[in-house]
Amino acid sequence: MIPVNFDYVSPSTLDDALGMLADGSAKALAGGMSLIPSMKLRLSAPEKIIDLGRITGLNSITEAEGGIRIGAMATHHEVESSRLLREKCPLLAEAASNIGDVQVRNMGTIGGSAAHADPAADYPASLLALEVKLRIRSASGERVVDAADFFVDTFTTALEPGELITEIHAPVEEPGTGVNYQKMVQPASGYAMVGVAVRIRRAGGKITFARVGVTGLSGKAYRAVHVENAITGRAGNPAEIQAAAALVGQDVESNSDIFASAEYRMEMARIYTARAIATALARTA
Amino acid sequence: MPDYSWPKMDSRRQMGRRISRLDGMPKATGAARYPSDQNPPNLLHAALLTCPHAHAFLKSIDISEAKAMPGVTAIEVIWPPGRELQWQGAEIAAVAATSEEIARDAVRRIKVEYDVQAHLVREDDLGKAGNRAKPAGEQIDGDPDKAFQEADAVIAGNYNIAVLTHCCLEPHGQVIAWGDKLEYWPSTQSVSTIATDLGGSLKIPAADIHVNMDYMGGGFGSKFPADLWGAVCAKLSKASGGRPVKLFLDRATELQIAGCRPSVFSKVKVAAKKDGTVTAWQSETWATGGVGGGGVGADLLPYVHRKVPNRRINHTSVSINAGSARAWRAPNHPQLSYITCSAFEDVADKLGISALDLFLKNADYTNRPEVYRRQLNKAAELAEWRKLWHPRGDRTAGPVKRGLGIGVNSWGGLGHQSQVRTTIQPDGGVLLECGTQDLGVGTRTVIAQIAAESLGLPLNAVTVRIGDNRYPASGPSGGSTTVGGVSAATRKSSLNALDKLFQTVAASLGAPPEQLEATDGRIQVKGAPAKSLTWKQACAKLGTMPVSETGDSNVRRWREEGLMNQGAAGVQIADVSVDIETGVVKMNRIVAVQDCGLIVNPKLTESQVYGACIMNVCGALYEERILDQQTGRWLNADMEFYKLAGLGDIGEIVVHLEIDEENDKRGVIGIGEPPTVGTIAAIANAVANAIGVRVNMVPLTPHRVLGALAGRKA
Repeated sequence: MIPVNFDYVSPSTLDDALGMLADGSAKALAGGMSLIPSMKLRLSAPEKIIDLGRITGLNSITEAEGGIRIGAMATHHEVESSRLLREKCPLLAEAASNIGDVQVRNMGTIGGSAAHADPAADYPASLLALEVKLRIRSASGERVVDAADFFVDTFTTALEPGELITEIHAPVEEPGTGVNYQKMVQPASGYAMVGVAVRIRRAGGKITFARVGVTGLSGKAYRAVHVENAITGRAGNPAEIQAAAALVGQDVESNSDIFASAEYRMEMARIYTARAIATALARTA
Repeated sequence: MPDYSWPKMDSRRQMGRRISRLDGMPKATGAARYPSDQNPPNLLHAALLTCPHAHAFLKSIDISEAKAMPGVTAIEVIWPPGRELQWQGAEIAAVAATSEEIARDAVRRIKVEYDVQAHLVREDDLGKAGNRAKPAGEQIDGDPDKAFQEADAVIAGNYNIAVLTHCCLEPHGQVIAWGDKLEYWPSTQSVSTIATDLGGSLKIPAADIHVNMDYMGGGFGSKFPADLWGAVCAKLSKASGGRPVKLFLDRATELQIAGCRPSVFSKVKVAAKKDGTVTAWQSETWATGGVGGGGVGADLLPYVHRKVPNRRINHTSVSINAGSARAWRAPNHPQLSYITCSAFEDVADKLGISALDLFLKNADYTNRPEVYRRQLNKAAELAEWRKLWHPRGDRTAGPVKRGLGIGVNSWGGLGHQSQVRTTIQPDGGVLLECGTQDLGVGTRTVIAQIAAESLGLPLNAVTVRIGDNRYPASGPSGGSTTVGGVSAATRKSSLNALDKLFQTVAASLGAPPEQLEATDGRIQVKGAPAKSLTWKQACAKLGTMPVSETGDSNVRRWREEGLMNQGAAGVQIADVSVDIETGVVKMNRIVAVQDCGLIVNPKLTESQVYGACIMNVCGALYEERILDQQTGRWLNADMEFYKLAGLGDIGEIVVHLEIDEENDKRGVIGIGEPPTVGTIAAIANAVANAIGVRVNMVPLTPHRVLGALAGRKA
């Protein structure tokens, strides 16, 4: 539980941090809730750590241009307790409230979680269901990436060496949208064995819009478009929900570990997809 | 000689009070120093190199690079090349260095070559164990075949329970400084005997070893010996010029080699009459506790109900390549209770009668039928059995099903050999000294209560010192033997000292010593309280010389003395909710009804029962050693994948202690073990009652629950 020796720097401006990260040799520390344990277990051994914790202004949550801008350094606690998010993008606040424990939520950040792309992390399911955009900067410029293009594979994202996420752009939910995130927790770590994020709208007795993000089941978080398509246009009765949820694992290879076999995880994905859809539907106005 | 018998229940001032642990505050504030907190000046840190393979011969070991590292002060190579290593985690070498980091880095620089051998790490499939399975032979009582033929109902079931580990929060280890004499701070369950063990391995007199341990962080039966790492730690200190060395196992090694509880796999058949009377028991069991195999006391089956007239039992011990079993809080009893109570409830289900009625019906097969019947009824009342129990399979709507189940326990708990010294100072101070140990259960507090009671003083007038082998010797804390031993010894030493004080002050009170009594801080003449001295005045008459007397628990004459006793019984009922879509089991409540003779402190006793129930919620739902047959490796030697219950997992625990004249007059009986037995049985039965089918492997993990619902065997 002792990491190898490393250098540690804590710049006070974003530009300084980007300059230090430019050659790709250093590792950025956002909240450290995954990086520090993996260093202590010697699963990773960066030579240099750039701590982003002293950079001010990277954790604000504000409404602008019809959406909500969440600074990458906003902690899970800041996201779960943000009045703005609770009112206008409650899925993200609900997802944040499901992460780890109080200590983790006080330290961990949304940008750090997204950049780490742990296949069992909570956020990615919601970020995909919300179709957020991620603003990314490096010493040489800035770009914006859609969530769908961001999560590439296990622990692998569209980030290039030297790049940082600076902001996440989430939509303001239309009135009447029902949302829900729920998961089967890994009982010790709190990670999602399966986590499902749902946004749903209903008009005239028919579901008109559905977004379903899934984490924990496979190597990366994904949008369960088969489920979305199957439930859209339906009334959303229990049988229809079950039928749609049964498609959650289509084209997906399920993870397997000592806690949950592939078969069990797949079954839980179906159960939690159905439960999340039912809960979200009940929340539609 | 003083009359040592316990004061009458209604005349006690200190015994029987719900006093919080006297050392609660130092523990809560961190002032309490555990062995792993000892950091004497010039401390060195040690780390172990352990075997990564389940089975290998040590081919070569090269420590030259490690030895050359700055900060490394000594390296102990434990085994020469050629040594056979029989489990992952087996100790090979240890390094002492000026920091923990350097010690661990140095361990990584030791080059070892292994000649890896074939291994067996799983015992579930007896057919694959080959000659590593050793049958103990069949035992038959009565005529089981005839009984099975004549039975109204016969059930056959598999009841399996995985190996779990002790997982002590403070891992095994010690700090040792070995200069002229040896200073020893072990985390141990046996302060008075461990010096003999260590001295034997080091070939030095036990009298040259000073043992000190004020607090320790959990043992559960796994911390009696000094262990190989104790001797290694001492040698590292010696080789480092006598500087103190700290060597505690890291978490993975703690789980791998510092103790586990044997598994049991079983095929059971039970025969019964229509009215629920069990007529025959048959069991084939097999188990492992590591390379040494595993006996699990199959002789005790059917557990508690040993008088079932017809029985056939067969046990097979399986040797596997994994760290060895150690005594685990009520060795074998939890597994045997689980097998027995599960099979009994399966019979009740087959007969279509209530499990409670079946246990009541068969109580005559126990050694204490009236006690078990009373406890079954009390537990049923507290668990709302009439309202909440239903035939197997909760038929209410929705995915969450609720159920109740029963488990029983039995234990001895007779006090061990213990000695206490009570010293009364001329200034009125009272000191109790005992070479016992407080495993966290409240031993200090009990000694203080009994001394204060015996001397007629308030609790804060006595000082208790334990955890040092310079104090009068006291037995190891195992088998629920401590409270009986220290209670009797404290009573006797305190009354012996008081008797001396009476002799000193008798003349000034104008009455013979045997006419005096100590009560409410005074020494007075019995029946004439006007003739009295305050405690301080009385002690002042000692002049300059304190009174110092010992007393012992006299294990050969415990029946005559009547201070301690043996034989505890208990019944637990678990109340669970199971989500049949996810397989997740949630604890609603455990009701624990328990007797244990005279109860010195109901609060501490209840705490023991709480702890026991919590430990077995872990065992019923989470704890399982998982070894991979392909690689021979542990897959969960940590505290993330080797999960223990958190607060939210435990549910409500309702403890009912049987405190009454009849139990009280039996004397003091230990409580550490009995309530750990039967909780797993109760939870497994409650899950079967909730979901309608038996999950045949514990822990009752979600995928096993779903597997059972789908008709699969785990």
